[in-house]
Amino acid sequence: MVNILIPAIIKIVVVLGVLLTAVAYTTLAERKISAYLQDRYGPNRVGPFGLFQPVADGIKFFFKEDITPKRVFRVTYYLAPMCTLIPALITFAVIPFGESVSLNGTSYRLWIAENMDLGLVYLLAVSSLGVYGIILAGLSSNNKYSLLGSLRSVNQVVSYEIALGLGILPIAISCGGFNLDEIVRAQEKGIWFVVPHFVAFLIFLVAIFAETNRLPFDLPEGESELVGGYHTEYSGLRFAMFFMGEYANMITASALIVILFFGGWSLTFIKYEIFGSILAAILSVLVFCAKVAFFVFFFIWVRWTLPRFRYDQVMNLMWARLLPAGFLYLLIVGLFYFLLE
Amino acid sequence: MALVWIDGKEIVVEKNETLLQAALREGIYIPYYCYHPSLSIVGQCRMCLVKIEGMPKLMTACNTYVPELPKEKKIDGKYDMKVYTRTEEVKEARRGILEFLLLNHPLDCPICDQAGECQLQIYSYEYGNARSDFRFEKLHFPKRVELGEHIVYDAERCIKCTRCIRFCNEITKTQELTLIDRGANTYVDTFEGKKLNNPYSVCTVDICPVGALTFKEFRFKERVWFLQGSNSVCPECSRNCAIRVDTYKGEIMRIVPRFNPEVNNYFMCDFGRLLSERIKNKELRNSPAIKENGAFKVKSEKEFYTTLLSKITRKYNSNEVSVILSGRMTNEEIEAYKVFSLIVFGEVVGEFLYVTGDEDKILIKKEKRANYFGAKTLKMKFTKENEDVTHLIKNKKLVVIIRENVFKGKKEEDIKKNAPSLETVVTFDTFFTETAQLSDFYVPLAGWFEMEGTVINFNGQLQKISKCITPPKGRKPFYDVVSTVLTILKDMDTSDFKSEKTKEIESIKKVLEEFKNREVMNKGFYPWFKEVKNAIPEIKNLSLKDLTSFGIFLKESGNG
Amino acid sequence: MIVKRPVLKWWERLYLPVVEDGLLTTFRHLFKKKVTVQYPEERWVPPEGFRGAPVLLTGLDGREKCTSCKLCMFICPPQAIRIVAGETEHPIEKYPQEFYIDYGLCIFCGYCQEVCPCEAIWLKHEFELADFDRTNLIFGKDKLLQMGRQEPYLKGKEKPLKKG
Repeated sequence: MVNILIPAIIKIVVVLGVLLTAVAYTTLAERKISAYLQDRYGPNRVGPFGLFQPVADGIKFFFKEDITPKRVFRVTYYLAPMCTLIPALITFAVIPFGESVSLNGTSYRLWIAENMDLGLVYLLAVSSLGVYGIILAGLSSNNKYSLLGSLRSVNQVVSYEIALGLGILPIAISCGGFNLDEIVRAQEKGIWFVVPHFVAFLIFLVAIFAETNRLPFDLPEGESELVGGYHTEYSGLRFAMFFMGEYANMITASALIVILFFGGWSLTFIKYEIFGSILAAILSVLVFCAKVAFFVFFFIWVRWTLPRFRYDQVMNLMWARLLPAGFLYLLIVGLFYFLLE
Repeated sequence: MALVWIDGKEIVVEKNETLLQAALREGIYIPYYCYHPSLSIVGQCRMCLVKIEGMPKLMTACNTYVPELPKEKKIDGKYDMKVYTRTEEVKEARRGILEFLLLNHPLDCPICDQAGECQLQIYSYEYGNARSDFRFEKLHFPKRVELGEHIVYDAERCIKCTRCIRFCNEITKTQELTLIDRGANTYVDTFEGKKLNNPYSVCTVDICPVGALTFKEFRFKERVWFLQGSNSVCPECSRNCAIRVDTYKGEIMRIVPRFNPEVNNYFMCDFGRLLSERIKNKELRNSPAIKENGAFKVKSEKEFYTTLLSKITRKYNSNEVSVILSGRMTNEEIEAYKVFSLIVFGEVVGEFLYVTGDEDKILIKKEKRANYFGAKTLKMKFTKENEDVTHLIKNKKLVVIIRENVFKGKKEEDIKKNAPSLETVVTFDTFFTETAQLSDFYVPLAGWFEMEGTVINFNGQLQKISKCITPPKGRKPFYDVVSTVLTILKDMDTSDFKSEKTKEIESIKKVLEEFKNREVMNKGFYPWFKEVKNAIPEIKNLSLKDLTSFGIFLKESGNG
Repeated sequence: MIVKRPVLKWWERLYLPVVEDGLLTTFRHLFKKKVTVQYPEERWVPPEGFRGAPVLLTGLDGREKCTSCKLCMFICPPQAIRIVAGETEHPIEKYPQEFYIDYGLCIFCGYCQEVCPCEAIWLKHEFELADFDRTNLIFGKDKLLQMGRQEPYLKGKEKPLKKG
C-alpha cells in the first residue's frame, strides 16, 4: 500500500506544483505574446522581462476585496469557482507525461493514475464537470449577464462535447482502446496520428477550442456583449480561480492534443532506449513539455488572431459541419478497419 | 400728416415727427447714434443717412420732417416722399461714416466695458469694413478722465454724438458738459471748475452709444455678455423707476434703468443705481435666531416659530403691542401681514413709518419707501414722524419691526430708558441690522431683489418686481413666513399659547379655519397676489401677464 | 453603391485558408519593431501644433499680454477659465487680477488660444499634468505666466496681431 501511495503522492505534488506554476506563467505568456503580436512589449516592469508579473498578479488577487453582491445564492456562489478549478486540475491524473523510470529495481510510471484503461473516457467525463462551475456561477450571481454567459457556455460545451468525442473515436478505433499510454505507444512505433487522422485532428482541435471557451469561441465571456459573462460578479481570489481554471484547462487540452495526435513524448526517429533509464525519462518529460508549450502558444496565437464567432455561427458550425463530418470520418475509419480484419 | 413710401412700405408721418421717428415706430431699421427719443435732435453723427427721391444728396433721417405736398405734386400720385434705406448707395455711405468714426478709435474692445452692447460694434458688424485703410498714427485724446464721482471718460472712444451734453442741458438742466476744441480734436469735457456730479449723472453712461463714458463702480467688473438681466423696480423712493438688475452668478453687478414711459422714461437717479454698491458687504443671516443670554442662537424653522408664537400669540392686549411696518414691504407682504396680525393679535394693528426726504422735479420723490402708496391703497395706518419711533415703543410690552432699521445708532440703554416695560422685540429684516441685533427674535427675510411682489408708485402705477437672485433657503419673503406660521399653527396645540381666554383660542381657530381652504397655506407668491387682487377691487381680474413690462395704472391709488 | 457578396469556393468556405492567413500575419508581427514608448525612460516628443497645457504669455515689455477681455472665459466649453479683472495705471488699463485655469476641467480644445485677441494664451506642448489632488490642478496667474516663460519654442516668435 505504502509502496503505491508514496510515489503517487510525490507524483501528485510535483504535477500539481508544475501545473500551477505553468498556469501562472501561461497568463504571463498570454500577455507577452499578445503584446508581441501587436507590436508592443507587454509587461516588463516587474522583474527582468516582467518575469515576476504572475507573482505580482497573485499578490494583487490576494489583497483585492472579495465582493459578494447582494441577493446572490451564497452556497453555489462560493462553490462555483472551485467547481471550475478542480476538474481542470484533476484531469491531469490520467495524462502520462513521460517514459517510465527505474529506481532501485522498481519501475515507476510517470503517470498519476497508472495504467488507467479508460483514461480517455475519464477525461471526457471530468472535463465536462467543469461546466457545472460555470452554470452555478451564472445561476447564483443574480446578474443577467452572468446568466446569459453561463447559458451560452452550457449550450456550447454540451454541443462540442459530441465533436470532441467524434475526434477521439477514430484514434480509439485505430489503437483499439482508451488507454492514453497505449495511444502514445502506438504512435511511437509508427507515425503520429495527426497525419493519418488529419480530419479527426481538425475536428478535435475546433472542439477543444470550444470546450476551453477560448477565442474564437469565447462567447460565455464575450466582453463586448456580456461584460464578463459568467464571472461578472466575481472578484479577488474567486475570480482568480476561474482564471486559473481557464488556463489549466488550456494546458490540459494542449497535453491531450499532444498525446492524441502528436505522439506524446515520442520523437519518432529517436528511440529513448539508447539513453539510460533516468536520462530517457527526463528527456521524454522535456519533450512532452515542449510539445505542450507549443500548443499553449498556439492557443494564445489563435486567440490574438481570430475574431469571435457569432452565436448562431457557433451552433451552425457544430451541428451542420462538424457533426456530419465527424460521423462521416468515423464511418470511413470504421469501414477501413472492418475491411482490414 | 404725410404719406411716405419707405422701401415699399407706406407710412403715415405726423407733422411734428421726423422720418427716423416714424420709421422706428413702424419697425423700419435705420441705424443712428446721436438720436435719442428723450433728447433734442441735432443730426450729429450722420449714421441715419437715407436716400430721398428728388434730393441731390443723402439726407439724415433723424432731422428730416416731411412736408405735405399739394395734390398735383405728389410722387406716384399719392406719396409725399419716397425714401430708400437699403440701397447700395446708402450702405456705402454708412460704411464711409463708420470708417470716419473709427479712424481715431482705439479699437480696444477687449478692455472696453461697452463691448457687447456697443452700437459701434453692432453697426460695424452690419455695415462696416472689416479693415481700416487708415495707415497713420491715430490722434490721441485724454483717456481715463474722471468727469465726476461715478463717471470715467475716454475721449479716444468718443464719437461726439453729444447725447451726454444734451442730457445735461435738457433733462437735468445742470449744464456741466460741453465740447472742447474744434474739428478732429473735439472732445467732451466739463466746464471749468465744474464736475459731472448731478443726481442723474450716470444716465449719461446709459445713453452713451459707445464706451466713452463708463460707470466707475461697474468698470471692468464683468463683461456684459455674462450678465443676466431681470426686470425689477427701484425701491429707493415712491417713483418706483423701472430697472433691470444685471446679475452674474447670483451677484448683482449693476442696476440700469428700464424704459417705462409711465414712470421714469429712460432714466433713473444715481442714488437708486448705487443701491447695488450699498447692499454689498452688509451682514446677512440665513436662518431665524433667538437671543439667549445675550447671544443669538440659530434654531430650526419649526422650533423657532413654535417658540415665537407661544411667546407672542394673544398674550398682550393690543394697546401693549406696537408693530412698526415699512413701505419696503410689497403688497403681498402687507396682505400677509394682515393675516398674521389677525391671528397673533386678534386685529390688524401696526403703523407704517412715513419716511420722507428730498425731492426734485425730475424723478426723485419725497416718500423714500417704494410701496408707501401700496400700503395706503391697502388701507394701512401711518405715523407722521420720520423714523423717530420713541413714541411708538413707549409703554409697549411687545414691539414687532418689519423691514425697518428703527434703532439705528441706538444702544440698549436708550431703548430701556424710553420703554422700560418692553419685554420682547421681534425683527423681520433682510440684513442683520442694529435693530436686529437689539431684538430678541430675528427672522431674516428675502431682500427686494430676492422675491416676487407687486408695488404701487406715487402715481398709482402697479408694477411687479421679480426674483433677480435666488436667496438661500432660510431667507424668505414675509408672505412665505406667514404661510409657514399658518402651517405651524395648524399643527400646534393651541394650549401652547398660554392664554386663559378660551374665547381667543376659539378666534384663532376661526381664522385658521377661514384660511384652511385658501391657497395661502401653500408657499409662494401667487396665492398672496390673489389676496392682493381681492383687496383692491380695481385689479380684481388682473393677470400677471399684464404686469410684465410697464405695469398697470390704478386710478384710485397714488396722489392723483 | 452596392457591393456584391463574393461567391466563395468550397475550400474558402472551409474557413481554414483565411485562418492560416491570419495566423501567418500575426506571426510576422511577432518579430516586428515594437512601437511602444517606454514612458519614464523614453519621452514622446509632441508634434508641432500639439495642444497641451494652456499657459499665459509675457510680452516683450515683461508685462503679461492678457488684458482680461474674458473671451477665453466665454468660449471655454468646460468653463475651466476664471478671470477677475483689475485696473492698472498702465496705458492698457485692464489686467487680470486673478487668472485661473483648471486643468482638471480643461479639454485642450485650443479655443482660448484661437479666440484670444492679444495672443496671450497659448497651448504649450506640456502634457504631464497629472496630480493626486484636484485642487493642485487649478493653476493661478503666476504659475501660468511662469510656464509661459519656460516655453523655448516661443522665443523670438513674437507675431504681430492678426490683420483683417
